[in-house]
Amino acid sequence: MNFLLCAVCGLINPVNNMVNVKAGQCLGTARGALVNYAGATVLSLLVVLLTGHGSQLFPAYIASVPWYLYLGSVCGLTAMAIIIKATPKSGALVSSVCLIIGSMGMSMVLDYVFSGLFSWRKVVGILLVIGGVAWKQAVAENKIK
Amino acid sequence: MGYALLLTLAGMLQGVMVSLNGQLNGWFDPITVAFFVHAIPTVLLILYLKVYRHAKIFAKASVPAYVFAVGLMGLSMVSISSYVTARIGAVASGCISNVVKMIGAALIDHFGFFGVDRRPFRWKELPCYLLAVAGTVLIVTG
Repeated sequence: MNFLLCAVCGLINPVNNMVNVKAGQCLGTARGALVNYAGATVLSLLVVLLTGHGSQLFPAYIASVPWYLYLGSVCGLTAMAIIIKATPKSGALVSSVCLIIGSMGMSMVLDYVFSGLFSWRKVVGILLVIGGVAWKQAVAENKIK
Repeated sequence: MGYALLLTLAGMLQGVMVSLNGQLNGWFDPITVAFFVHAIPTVLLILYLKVYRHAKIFAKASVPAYVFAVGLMGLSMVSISSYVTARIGAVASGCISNVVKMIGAALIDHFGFFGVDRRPFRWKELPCYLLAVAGTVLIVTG
C-alpha cells in the first residue's frame, strides 16, 4: 500500500511540474509558486478544520514540536530557487543527475541517522537509479546515439 | 563545476525536506503536515514579493483554470510523501517517486499533454527505465 501511494505521488509530480511551469509563464516565477503554496495552504487548512483536527493548530501544541522539523519547507523553497537559477546554466543532464545524487545521498544519511536504516543493497539500488536517470537524460539530449 | 555543486546542494536540501516532513508526520496528521509545509513558504514568498521585489502580490493575467489545481496536487503530494516516508524511509519513497515521475514525464512527452511538443517514446530509452526500475526493486527489497 505504501509503495502504491509513492507511485501515485510520483505520477502526480510531473503533472504538477507542468502546471507549475504554466503558472510561472503566466504570472512570473515567484507568483506562480505562490499560487501553488497559497492554494495548498487554504485547502489543507479547510480539510484540517473540517475533519476536526484543528486542535493540532493550537499555538501550545505547535510550540511543543521540535522547531527544526518545520524547516523542511524552507529547504524545499531554497532548493527550488537554486534549481531555477542553476539549471539554465548547467543543462538538464547535469541538473537531473546532481539533484538525484544529492537527494538520494542525503536521504540515505538521514534514514541512517534518524531510523538506523542502511544496507549495501540500497546503495547499489541508488547507483542503478542514478545510472538510469543519467542515461535517459543523455539519450533525450542525443548525447548517446 | 560550481553549478553542479549548487545543484547537488539543492538535491541534498530536497532530501532533508523529505526526511523532516516525514518526521513531522509523527506529530501531526498528513494534512496538517501539508498545511505547515505550504503555509511557511507562502509567508516567505509574500515577504519576498513585498519587501525584496516591491511587487504586487496579485497580478492581472489570463491564467488557464487548471493552474489553480496546482495547490490540490501539492497538498496531495506532500500528504502522501510525509505519510509514506515515516513508514518506509526517505530513500525508498524518494526512489519510487523518482522512477514513476520519470515514467509519467515520458507519457506526457509521448502524448503531448499540457501543450508540450510531442516527443514519441524511443525504444532505445527502454534500458534506462529498466535500470532505474531494477535499482528501485533492490531498494524496496533491501
